[in-house]
Order: sequence, then structure tokens, then C-alpha cells
Amino acid sequence: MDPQEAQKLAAELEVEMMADMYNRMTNSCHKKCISTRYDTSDLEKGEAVCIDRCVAKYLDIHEQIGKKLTDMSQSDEEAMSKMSPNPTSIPPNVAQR
Amino acid sequence: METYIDKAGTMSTAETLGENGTEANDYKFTKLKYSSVLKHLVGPDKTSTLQPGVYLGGLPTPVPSIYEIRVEKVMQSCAFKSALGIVAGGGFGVVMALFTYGVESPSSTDPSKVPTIKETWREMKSRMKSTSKNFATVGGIFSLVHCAVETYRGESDLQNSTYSGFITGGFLGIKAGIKAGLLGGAGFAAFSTLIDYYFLHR
Repeated sequence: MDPQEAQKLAAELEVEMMADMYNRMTNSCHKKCISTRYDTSDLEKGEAVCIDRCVAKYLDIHEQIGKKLTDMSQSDEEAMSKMSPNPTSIPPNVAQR
Repeated sequence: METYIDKAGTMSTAETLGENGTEANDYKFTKLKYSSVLKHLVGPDKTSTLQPGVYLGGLPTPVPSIYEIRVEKVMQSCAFKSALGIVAGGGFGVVMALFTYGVESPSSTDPSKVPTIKETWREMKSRMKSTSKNFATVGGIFSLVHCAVETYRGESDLQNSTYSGFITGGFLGIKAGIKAGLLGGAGFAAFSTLIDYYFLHR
């Protein structure tokens, strides 16, 4: 795959990825940091601090796991390409469907 | 239904591929390398086109300006909160001195002689200074410790008042010995927890 194709595909997928990550991060940090009893509409200092830390950790985890996944898939692809260099026909398990 | 990517980069499903959707000549396989796509999504080579004002999650929220962020930081900081505690404690001490002056008669004059305004004012001033100093230190230390404990724990509940009350009471009573410090700390912790519980569940 060309780097340009990969980049175009990444740009298309990025918006969806960011929206999904934002939703999950919001849900997770809300569950962890904000108590169920609401006394004021403003964030308390403890809650604001907790949210800062939660978001920082989430983004850090996201990046580290992404890097690990990239390395894993790269080594997988290298192993696969050594086994079967150029797939030009339909794999048999797909063709019989 | 499988989706395939052909050389031009367009995704297509099996239905658009011709009358017999499974003809081998209608599409060509290219290797979809997850790693090369992932490298542009996460990691150091990220080429993100999203700006900070993009509305993720569907809600258009305005990005706060740098001044707003700075002011918010100052208002929420522990130093500002302890300054508020000191001022509040000092004011409360002054009011307490004014009210208790009438209850406790001054020692320098005998009951028959009516004190002049100057003498009364001098008495009141010394009482106000001492009580306001005491209450200001109590308020300032309590606010500072409360803010520090809340920042450390990352939670906002009643336990913060208990811990900071214990430390404040201990600090006040430690001059009279360890036992007095512990007792004073426990008493102050209970008192501050009660007050905050009252304000919480009014």
C-alpha cells in the first residue's frame, strides 16, 4: 500500500476514531471521577484535578497501545509476506462461500 | 458481505462488482497493511487535521480563552483558598471580639467607674487583634490543608474535612503535648465534619 493511500485512509478513519475515543474517555472518566450526588453545578477542585489526570492517562494509554499494536501488526505482516508473497487469486475459504 | 479495496483505493462490496459478484477478474487484492494506516493515526508520525475547536461528541462548546483559563487556575489554587480562609477567619475573629467584649468585663477598671471611649477602644483593639489572629490562623491552615488533601486524593467528599480538621486541631494543640494534640485534632475533625455535613444535607 502506498503511503498516500494509507494517509488518505487514515484521514477518513481519524474523525471516527477521535469521536469514538472522546465518547469512551468521557464515559470512563465521568464514572471514575464525578460522584453521583450533585451539590453544585461547578466542578469541585478534586473533580477537576481527577479529570485532568484521567484524560492525561487515557491519551497516554491510547498512544502506547497504538504503538504496540502497530509493531505487532508489522511483525505479523512480515511473517505473512514471507509465507505467501503475492496473493492474486481469491483465497479458497472465501471462494466457497 | 465482504468489502474489498482495489488499486484505486475505493472500497466496494460484492454487489457492485458485476453480475456474478464473485468473479475473480472484477477485483484485485491489495494488502491492507494495518501498520501503515495505524502509523498515521497513533504514534509519533501522526498527521492530524483536527483543530481544537472541532465539535467532538456533537455538542458545540466554545474553547475557553487563555485569560479565562488563567483566572480559573488562580481561583482554584490552594494559595488563593488559604488567603480566603485567612481573611474570613480574621473577619470572624473581629466580630467575635466585638460581641464578647460586653460579656466579659475589662479587668483594668473597677465596676463603679464608667470607662471612657479611648480606654474601651484600646481594650477592644487588643482583644480584636488577638482573636482575629487566632481565628485567621485556624481558617488559613484549615483551608490550605483541605485544598491539599483534596488535590492529593482527587475526590470531593466529607472525608477531606475530617482529615484537614484533624491536622488543624493537632497543629493547634501540639504545643500542650501529644495527647492534647490528638484530642484537639479528633475534636476539630468531628466538628468540621459535622459542619460540612450540615451544609451538604441541609
